[in-house]
Amino acid sequence: MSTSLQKKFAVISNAITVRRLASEAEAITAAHEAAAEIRELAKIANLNDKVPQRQADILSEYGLTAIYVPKEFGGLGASIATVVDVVRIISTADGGVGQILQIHNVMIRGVFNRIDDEFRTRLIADILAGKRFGNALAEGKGKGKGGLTRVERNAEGKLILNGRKVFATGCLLAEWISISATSDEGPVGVLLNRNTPGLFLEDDWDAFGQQHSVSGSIRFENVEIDERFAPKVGGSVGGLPGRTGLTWPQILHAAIDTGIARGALEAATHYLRNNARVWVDADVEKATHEHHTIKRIGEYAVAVRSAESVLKYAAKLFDQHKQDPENEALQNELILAVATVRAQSDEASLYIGRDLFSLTGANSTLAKWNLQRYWADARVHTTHDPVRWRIYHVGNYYLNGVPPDEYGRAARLRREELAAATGATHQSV
Amino acid sequence: MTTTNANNIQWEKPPTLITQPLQKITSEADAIVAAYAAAKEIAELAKDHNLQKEIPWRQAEILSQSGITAIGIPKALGGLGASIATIVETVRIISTADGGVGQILQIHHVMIRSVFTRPDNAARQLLLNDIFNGKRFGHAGAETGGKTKFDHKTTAQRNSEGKWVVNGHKFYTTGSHLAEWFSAGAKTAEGDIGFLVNRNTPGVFLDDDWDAFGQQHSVSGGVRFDNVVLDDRFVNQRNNEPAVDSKTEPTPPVRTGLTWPQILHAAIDTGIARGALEAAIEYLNNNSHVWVDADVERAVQEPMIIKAIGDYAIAVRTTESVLRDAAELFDEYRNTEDNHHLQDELILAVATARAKSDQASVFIGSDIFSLLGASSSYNKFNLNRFFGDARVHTTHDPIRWRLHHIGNYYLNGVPPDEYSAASARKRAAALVPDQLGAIL
Repeated sequence: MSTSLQKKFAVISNAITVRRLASEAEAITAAHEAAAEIRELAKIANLNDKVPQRQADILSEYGLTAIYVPKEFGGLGASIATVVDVVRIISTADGGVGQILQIHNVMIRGVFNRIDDEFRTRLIADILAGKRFGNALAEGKGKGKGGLTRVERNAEGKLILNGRKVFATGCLLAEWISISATSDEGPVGVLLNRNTPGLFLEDDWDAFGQQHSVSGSIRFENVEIDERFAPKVGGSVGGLPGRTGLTWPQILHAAIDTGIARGALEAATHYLRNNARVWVDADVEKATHEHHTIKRIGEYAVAVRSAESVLKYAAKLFDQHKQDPENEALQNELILAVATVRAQSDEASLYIGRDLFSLTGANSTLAKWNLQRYWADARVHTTHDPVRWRIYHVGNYYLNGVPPDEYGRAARLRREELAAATGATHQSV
Repeated sequence: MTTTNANNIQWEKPPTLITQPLQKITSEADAIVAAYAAAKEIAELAKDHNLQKEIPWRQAEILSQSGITAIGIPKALGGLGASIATIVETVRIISTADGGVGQILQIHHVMIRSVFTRPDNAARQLLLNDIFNGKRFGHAGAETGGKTKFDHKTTAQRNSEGKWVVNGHKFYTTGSHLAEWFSAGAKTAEGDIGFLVNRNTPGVFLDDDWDAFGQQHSVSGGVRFDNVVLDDRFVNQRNNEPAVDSKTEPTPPVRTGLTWPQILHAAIDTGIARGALEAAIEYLNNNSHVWVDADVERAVQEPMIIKAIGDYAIAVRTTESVLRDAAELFDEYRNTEDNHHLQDELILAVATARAKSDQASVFIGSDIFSLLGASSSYNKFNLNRFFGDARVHTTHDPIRWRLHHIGNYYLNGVPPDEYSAASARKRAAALVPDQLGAIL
C-alpha cells in the first residue's frame, strides 16, 4: 500500500518546467502568481482532505522552492527577508501549502553546509530542479522525543534504520527526507531519498486543519543506510544547536500564520462585499456600509498589518544576524523579534479566523464556502510550538534579565546540569 | 422508502422514532437530574467523530425519553409547569454534551410556547398530547437569499375548497428534520400567515442538506413545501387587514418576544463553554505531553496551563451566573409583564448572557488547543466540535447588535430593543405616516 502511495504522489510530475527566477523582486512576483493559483484550489471544500499534489507542483514550477540556494551554488541566494515573504504570500492562499514550503526551506539549509562532494552536488541539482525536502523528527507517544527510531549496525557492519515518525511535514510530497534517530553512539541525523527500500510513506494525516501540510507518518523497516552520504553519527545534527538555531523554522512558522491572517481578512471582506446580507437592525443598503462591521474590519486590518510589520522587522534582523552571527546583542534581539512575531501572528490568525463569522453571518458557516479553513489552519499550525512559552521567554528577559531562549535548548541545558550534578549516572549513559 | 417530489429531490423516509418518556418528571429537581442523565448519554455520542455528520436520531430519542421535552407544559394544562430557570438549565446541561442537540431542545421550547395560548379545543389537545408523548417541535421560518433575514419568498394560495396551499423552500429549519410538528410562514394575497404542519403531511419534504462546519446536530437544513394543503385548525392569519402590497409586514412582535429564544440560545453557548472546559481538563489529564521547557512531571502541573484553565473557568462561571440571573429575572417578568423597567432589565440581562456566552464559548473552544498540543488537533479526538458548534451557533444573531442595544441604552438612554421589534419599527417608519399608528 505504502509503496504505491510513493508512486501515486510522485515528487513532481515529469512535465514540469521550473521557472528560473533572476531577482528577489521576480521571486515575490512569482509568489503572488503561485498564490493566486493555489487560492483557487484552497477554496474548494472537497479538496481539503486531499493530498495537495498540484499545489506542491505549483510551488516548484514557479521556482519558489529554489530561491534559497546560495549564489555560489548557482542559485538566487535570496535574502531571509525574501524567503520569509514568499512563505507568507503562499500562506495567504493556503497555510498547509505554506508549511510544505516552510519545512523545505528549513531542511535544505543543512545541504549548503555539507562537505563538497558528489552527494551535495546531487542534492543541490535536485533543489534547483524543483524537488522538495521534508522532515521526520517527531514521534508519537513514547519515552521522549526521537527515542524509538534507531540506527544500529548489523552483523555485516551496515547501518540499519528502524522506527516510525509522525507529524512528518511535507514528506509525502518530498524527494528527500530528513530524519532524526538514536544510536549507540548518540543522536544521528539521516537524509533519505523517498524511494529508499524499506521507507514507507503513509497518507494518514487527519487533523481538522493544515491538511495540506501532509504531516502524516513514515515507517522505516530495516532501511539500509548508504554510509558514504547520510548519517553523521555523533555529529552536529543531534548535538546542541546554535543558540539561534530555531529562529529559522520559527520565523517561517510565523510567516505562515501571518499569511493565514491576511488570507482570512481578505476572505472576510470578499464575502461581505459579495454575499452577506444586511442585518435587520442596520439602517444601510449594503452589509459593507454597517459601522460595526467597518470598525471590526479595521481591527482585523490593524492586527494583520502589525503582524506583517513585526515579521518584516524580524526578517531584516535575521539577515543582519547572518552577517554577524557571534554578536550576542543581535542574537538576543533576533530571538525576541521572532518570538514577538510568533505571538502577534498567532493571535492575529486565530482572532480573525474565528471572529470573521460574527460579521459574515450564518450562511457563511455552510461548508461550501470553506471559510473555517483559516481558523482551522491557524489553530492546528500554532499548537506544535505553544506561544505561551515564546511569551514566557520574552517576559523572563524583560523581568529578570535572562537571555531569551528557544525551546529544547533550555530543557537540554537543564538536563545537562542535572547530569553533571549526578556524575555517576552521566558516565553510565 | 424513498419518495421523490416535483423537484426530483429524493428523500429517505426516516425511521420511526421512539419518543415516549420513560418516566414522568414530577418536580423541577427531577428535571435537572433527568437532564444530567441524558447529557451523559449524549456526550458519549458527541465524542465520536464519525457521528459528527450523521442525523442525531438517537440523541433526539434520548431527549424525549428523558421527559425533559415536556417539562414546559403549564400546570393548568396538566404539565409540570417548570420555571424558566429550570428549562434554561436543562438546555444548558444538554448543551455541555452537544450544542446541536441542545438547539433541538431550544427550538422545541420556543415553538411549543404558542401551543399553550391557543384556544382550548381538540386541536390544542392533539398538540398537547403529542408534547406529553415526547414529540418535538421544530421551526421552518427562515429562508436564504433576500436582502435581510425577513425577506421571504414562500407563498400560499387558496384552493377551490378555500384551503391554503403552500409552496416554497425554507432553510435553517432547526430541529424540523426530527420534529413531529414545525411552524413556518408564507406570504399570501390576504397578508402573511403562520402555520403549524405535521411532518407526515403530503408534499412536505425534509432535506438532509445541513452542511455547516458546526452545529451539525441541530439539523438546520431545508424543508420544501410542494403544494402542501394546510389544516385550517393550524393556520394563523397574522394580519387581518388586506395587504397594501407584498411588502406589508406582520403585526409587530411583543417587545420582549425574542428574549425567550435568546435566553435559550445563550444557554446553548454557556453549555458549550462548559463542555469545552471539561474536555480540555480531561485531555490534559490523560493525553497531553509535558512541554519541553516545563519543569514538571505532568502537563497539569505547568503553572501557565493552570492559569489558563483558571481563565477559562472564570469565563464559564461568569456566563453561568449571568444566565442564571437572567432566567430568574425572566420568571419574575412573567408575573408582571407590563412592568416597563423589568422589560428593560430582562432585555439587558439576556443580551448580557448572549454576549458573555458568545465570548466564552468561542474563546475557550478555540484556545484550548494552545494548551493541549499538536496531537489534540487529530480528528479522532473530535475536540474542534466545541469551537465549530459555538462559532456556527452564534452567527445567526450577531452579537455586535446585542452590544449595540446595550450601549445605546447606557449612552443615549434608548430603551433596549430586540432585533425584530427594531426592524418592525423601522419598516413601519418607511410606510406612510398614518399607517404607523396601526402597526405600532
